Amino acid sequence: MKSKEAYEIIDAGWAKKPNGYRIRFQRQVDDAIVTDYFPDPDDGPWKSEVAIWRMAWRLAESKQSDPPDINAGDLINITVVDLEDNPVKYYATNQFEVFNQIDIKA
Amino acid sequence: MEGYSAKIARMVSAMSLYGRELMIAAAVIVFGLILIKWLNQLLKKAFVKLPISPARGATIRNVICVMMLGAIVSYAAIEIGIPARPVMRLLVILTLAAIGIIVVFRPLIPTLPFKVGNTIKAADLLGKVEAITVLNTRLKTFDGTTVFVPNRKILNDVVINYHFTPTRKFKLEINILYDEDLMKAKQIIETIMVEDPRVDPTPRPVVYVMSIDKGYVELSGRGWTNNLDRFVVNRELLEKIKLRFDQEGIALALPQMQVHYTEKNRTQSYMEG
Repeated sequence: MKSKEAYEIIDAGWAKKPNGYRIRFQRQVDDAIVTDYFPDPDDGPWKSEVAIWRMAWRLAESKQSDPPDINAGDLINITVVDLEDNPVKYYATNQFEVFNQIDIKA
Repeated sequence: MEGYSAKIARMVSAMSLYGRELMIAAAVIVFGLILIKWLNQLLKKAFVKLPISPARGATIRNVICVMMLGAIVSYAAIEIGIPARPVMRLLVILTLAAIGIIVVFRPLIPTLPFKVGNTIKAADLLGKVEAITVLNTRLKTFDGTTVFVPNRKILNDVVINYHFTPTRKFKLEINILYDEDLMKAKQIIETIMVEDPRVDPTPRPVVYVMSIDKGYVELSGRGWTNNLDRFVVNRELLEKIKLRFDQEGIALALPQMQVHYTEKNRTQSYMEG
């Protein structure tokens, strides 16, 4: 096996390098729960995992809801996703983390 | 007194002969300088909106202003009564001489190795170049201080211009205790570096054991990143490594020193004292 092939296998199968991160959250708009993103999909994503999780925490702290009620303006189910909309593990706990989590079906 | 009287009389005579032309020439120069200053400000504002660098904008403005100054001085000279043809000839000669001097001697003229907007380290200062004048360079350091550094000091000093190198190496210095899992620590550091989108994939990040004789195992993670991101990337990777080590139960080592105390040494010290 050539070294190029070996590195291709490593790059494809080992630690993935996301192209950026966004915060995915939900909020109530006219009696409907809509999913939104920060930064806006029209804007570039953030490259810093630390900064995006810090931002998610700040948003959660600023717009907390009182479960099970969701008031207009509340931001719920806040998490960080990659550009393919897959949740990203919170680096501080190495677990999937959702701030201000509310089960909408309930 | 007679000398002064004669001089004044000659001046009055000259003014009566050429006064009108001199006044017009002076007025042309004064209004011309005001016009140049106004045009310079106007171009400065206009160039901000155009997609050209501040340095190039300043060069274009300077060229336009110099050309206008030449035209105004020529016009004033013609107003005084100097024939137009010699004035134009002189102007052409001066222009060609200036271009020739610049072309021939430019490689020999000491120039500052940076432009406005570059981030540099010079004269023990790290900051962004805000302006360059004939005498000094205005630097804004990262703590917000504006510093005026004499150009002669910069020319005599070592200058690091970070603008020329888009990427830069970073080092993560991490120390762990001897009884910690060395391979696990290396894997964590390498994985965190590889996963970060700001760390360049090539050259590939690596982790070295730098030393084992300091009372702990000294590890060093090396990688490359964008020059402008380097400071933040370095700090954030350290934060992530510390937290992942906590999750995996790997203890970081503190700097330590072993002191061997024996009764023999104590006696000798006491006797010497």
